[in-house]
Amino acid sequence: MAQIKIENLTLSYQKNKQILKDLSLEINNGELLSILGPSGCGKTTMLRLISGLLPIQGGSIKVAGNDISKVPVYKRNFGMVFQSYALFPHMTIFQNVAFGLKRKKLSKEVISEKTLSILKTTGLIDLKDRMPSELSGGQQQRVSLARALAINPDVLLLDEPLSNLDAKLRIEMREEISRLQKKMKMTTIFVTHDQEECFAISDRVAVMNKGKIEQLDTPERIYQHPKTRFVAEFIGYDNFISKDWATEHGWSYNDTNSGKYLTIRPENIKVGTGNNTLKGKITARNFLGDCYQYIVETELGRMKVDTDNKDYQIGSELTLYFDKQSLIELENK
Amino acid sequence: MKSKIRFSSVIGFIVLLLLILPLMIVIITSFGSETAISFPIKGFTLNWYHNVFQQPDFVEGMKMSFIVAILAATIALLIGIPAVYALTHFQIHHKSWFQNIFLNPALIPEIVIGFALYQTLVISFGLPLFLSLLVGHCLLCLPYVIRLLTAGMMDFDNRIEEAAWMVGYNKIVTFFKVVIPNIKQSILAAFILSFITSFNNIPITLFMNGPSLNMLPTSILNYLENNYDPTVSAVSVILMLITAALMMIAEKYLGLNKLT
Amino acid sequence: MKRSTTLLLLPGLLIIIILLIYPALRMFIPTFTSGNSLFENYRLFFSSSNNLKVIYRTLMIAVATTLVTLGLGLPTAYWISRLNGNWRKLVSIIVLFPILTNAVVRNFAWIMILGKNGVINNFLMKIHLIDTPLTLLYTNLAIIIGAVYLFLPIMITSLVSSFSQLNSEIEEAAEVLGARPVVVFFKVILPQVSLGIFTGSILVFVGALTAYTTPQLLGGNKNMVLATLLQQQSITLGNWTSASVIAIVLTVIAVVTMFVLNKVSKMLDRRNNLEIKN
Repeated sequence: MAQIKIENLTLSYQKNKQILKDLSLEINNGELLSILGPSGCGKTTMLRLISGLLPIQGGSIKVAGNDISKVPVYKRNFGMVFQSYALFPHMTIFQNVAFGLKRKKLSKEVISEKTLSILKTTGLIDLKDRMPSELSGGQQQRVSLARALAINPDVLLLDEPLSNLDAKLRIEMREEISRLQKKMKMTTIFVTHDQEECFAISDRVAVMNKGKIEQLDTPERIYQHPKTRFVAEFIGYDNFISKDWATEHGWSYNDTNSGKYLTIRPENIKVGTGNNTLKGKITARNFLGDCYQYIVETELGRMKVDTDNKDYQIGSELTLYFDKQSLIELENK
Repeated sequence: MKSKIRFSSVIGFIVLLLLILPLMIVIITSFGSETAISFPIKGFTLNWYHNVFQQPDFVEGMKMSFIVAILAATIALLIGIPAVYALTHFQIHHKSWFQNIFLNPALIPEIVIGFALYQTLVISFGLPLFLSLLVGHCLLCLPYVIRLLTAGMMDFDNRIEEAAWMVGYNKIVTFFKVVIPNIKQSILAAFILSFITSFNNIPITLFMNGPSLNMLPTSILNYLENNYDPTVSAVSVILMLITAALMMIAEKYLGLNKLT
Repeated sequence: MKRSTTLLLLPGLLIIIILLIYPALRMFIPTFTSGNSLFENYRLFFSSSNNLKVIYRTLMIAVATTLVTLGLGLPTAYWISRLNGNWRKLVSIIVLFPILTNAVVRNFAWIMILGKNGVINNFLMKIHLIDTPLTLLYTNLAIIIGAVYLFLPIMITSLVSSFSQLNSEIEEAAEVLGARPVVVFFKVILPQVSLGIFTGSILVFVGALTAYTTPQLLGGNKNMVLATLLQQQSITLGNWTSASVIAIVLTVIAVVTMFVLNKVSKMLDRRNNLEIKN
């Protein structure tokens, strides 16, 4: 378990095509840090650089103060859980989990003892003699996690580990990951494109876009105060109001930076009159389970409004009220 | 990771060289001017190519090998397509049993097939040599046809066929208008592979050629027993050109991986 | 079975039954009925030390060919499976071309290389490593070399398709867990391509076992194998019963090997068949 310091990591396949741009990041000892971003943003590439599966072109990675940039992957002592689980199909569950320990010049008894112990911790002990093909997806996922943890790695790397599971298992597994991570105080990097699962278990979240980190914060801060339009859109803010327009129309809002946009969550837009309002025409109504979402066409474009009221008619006019406290100011990006 | 790749790429490169070099030597010697094959060659001549066409066995053999290969591949397809259609579309008891029968010829060594056919068809039944040979080559091609077409038919979405029935095409018209066009790549691949298998065959042909029926590979084999001159190199180059032409056709219309 | 189904299957079935299975039986049955006792012909065949030598040579050549093609084929196929785009295409052509080229041509090339005045002897004499030409042609070694050349592309092709199906994350998982490249290859990659190894080995072994052209051209009259012996007994000597016995022995060895290796590889396959499940 150790602290990781990533400095000025860059990677480009061709001269002009940068995958990672001068990326720096610090992960504290025992922390679970998520890297959140859409596919192609470079998050998996970054994880592969950290793991050593990709050679480093520029920048450095330090673990507990030691530069490991030149250390080959098989000497790094990291644990990694892959998207496809990557279990060894020709080995039993026990052999899969013991594989990493066998490289460590330990006695047979110690290997067996450690393997059994981690199998118990992860609830796999009854499956130890099965082949991977005989396991369900959730069980395979557990084995993959147990195999990574068995070598007592300095760092645990998780590459979209939940994306092949169905919704219910996904929640179960992310809680399992969180439980084990806290129990073992494991420094963990968790790569995902799913904001919900990442917010649920992370200490901090780095939102990535086009090879750069757009925002690094606690889940709460990111949810309540997205810094950039990209982050806001990625975590479900749909309504954007240009600051210039708002000023022109005498809106009141917190004006602390040179950003161009304000944003607001659909559930925070109210129907009402007075200052900070905007007129629009309802074009659609969708039932979302706990509320109704109205699509309102305004002079600023389409606004999404969530409300309990189901009586607004498609085609009718609506005056939307934007509370000053709910309006979030984005940075100029 | 890297050293693994490096080791295997060194071996791989050497293996590729070993695969090409012998054929290169054949090509080079075909231009040598000395009457005995020598390598490296001393002078340059195209006489040996001329000589190939002076050998009636080679010219006749080439013609016959072409005819037999085309007929055998065509007949194997005509037999194979309906069988594969039945095997992939209908519920049949003991389906695997039938499939195994059709793949049967691949199980018996070719030289044994040749010998058995010769004994029964030629000696006992007195069937003409040509016909017996054709039978042998059809049997040779059938497993290729069955294997490639089964794969092609499996890839084909049956619902497309059902859609044609729904809009009023009967099953026979549908078969020709919808099924065949959709598996035509597999048909072409099967034809090319069958053609080349028949054209190159020796073990079966061995038993059923004679003074009246010359086939190219066995003619070369016979020629080699008595002569050792660059004519063989030259005819080998011609055979390689035929192979290359077929590969180009396959590459253009199918992609080479279809042939393996 | 429906009538239409029967109609579709019938031509093929008839041809195979009448023109393959029936002739095979006609060859098979007299080997038992024509002798004084049921197994007389087989007893005679196996009591000849010469025949036993031929069987031994045939098997030895087939085994050696399989092992050498495996040894050369595994690294080559692994390398090819990692190539992309145009390189991969070029290499595939180089591998495929010999498969589709006539066996006479391919063996003829080795006559020129191994012969008394062949490429190797010429070269060795030129650099004065030897004074008199080595006897390379018309030996067991020549047959093995020819057979390796003949069947290596087939081995490579079946291994490449096996290697290409590998999930590269599994290798990476092993590396992250501390396995060096060599360990990864032997403990993680090889076991996963065992099916391809078996498929390739079956093709090569049976091919080398039953090959006629290679031993005929490169082995000469002294180094007979079952296939050339069969040809000699039937066409040259007209010894039909004896030839039939050889044909049966050859077929049985081929079929039994195929059957056993197939069973083993199916067992392995069932074990290795790992899919990502939900």
